[in-house]
Amino acid sequence: MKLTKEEIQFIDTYLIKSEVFYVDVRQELIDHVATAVEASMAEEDLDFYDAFKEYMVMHKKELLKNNVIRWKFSWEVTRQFGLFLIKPMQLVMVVALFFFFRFVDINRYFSAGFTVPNLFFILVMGLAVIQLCYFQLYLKKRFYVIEKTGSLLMVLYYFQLFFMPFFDKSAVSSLTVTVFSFLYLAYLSFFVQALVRFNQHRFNYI
Amino acid sequence: MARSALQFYTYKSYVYKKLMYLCSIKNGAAMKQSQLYKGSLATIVMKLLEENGRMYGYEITQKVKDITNGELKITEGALYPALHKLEAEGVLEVEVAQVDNRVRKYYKLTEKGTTETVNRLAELEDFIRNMQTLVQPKLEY
Repeated sequence: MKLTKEEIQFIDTYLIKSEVFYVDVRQELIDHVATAVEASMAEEDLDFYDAFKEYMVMHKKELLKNNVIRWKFSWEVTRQFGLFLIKPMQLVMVVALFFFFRFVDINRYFSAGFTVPNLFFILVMGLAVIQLCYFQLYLKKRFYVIEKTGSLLMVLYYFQLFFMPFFDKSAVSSLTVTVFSFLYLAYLSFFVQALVRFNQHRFNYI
Repeated sequence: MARSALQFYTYKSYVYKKLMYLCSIKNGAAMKQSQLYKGSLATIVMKLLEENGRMYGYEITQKVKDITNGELKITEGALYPALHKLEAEGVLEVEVAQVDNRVRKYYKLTEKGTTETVNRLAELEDFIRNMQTLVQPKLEY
């Protein structure tokens, strides 16, 4: 017996109340719960609410393990980013950047009032604001599959803060600039890649 | 009258608590058992996908349950993270379809995944063989 639209909506509301905020996570769980409930309705001859209650008593704890309530650091995402960094394309980029900064002295474009660390701070924060606007104003729904890359930007931000004292105010070494611009550009392409992949499926979710 | 209603509700919550306790014991036992299977979960999933083409989450749990006669139950909390990890690694790809008023995510092996399955199965078979020689009592007379 197939569930009606209202019954699916009931499961959806239940999961929202259980703090499953990400649409893509919820869609997958809804299908799982609905299929399980349909099966037990057919096998044990229960009505929807009894079958649903029985399922939730037994499986709620396991089911909600898939949920991500807060924006948190994830080893899995960091690992994927690490693997992304050692792709041939990225390695070519790091070499190109290194030679670029070796032969072009960027220090003369900066002054005491506007240093290289300042520029990186603005770049990272700018990207964070753009991402936030995209999530909140454009999509208006939350999708874990793209928001999870945000935690990497946070890592990048702290990394930059931590190494700030090592920046020499008057002259930044080409190696430091290479590392930071490489990480920034790699993150940008990683995010764009996630966006492209997300957009292939997006209209199925909405 | 009011008192008996109160008694009834106290009793009901008592039964509910007992029930939850029993469930937690059951879950605990299942988890302990699954520790051994944990490392092979991805391989099991890939093997099933190789045989059946595309599958969705619930279907995978049911298939495993059917094949092992209910002895091995893959929990929701273990299955989906494993699937998402494989998807991120490029081993699986996703197809989304509208099924009975809801969205269903199908997983299937990519080309890379198909070759990877062969490797992982060979690795698992080695593991099983080694385990067998370790655990089996030696029959020497």
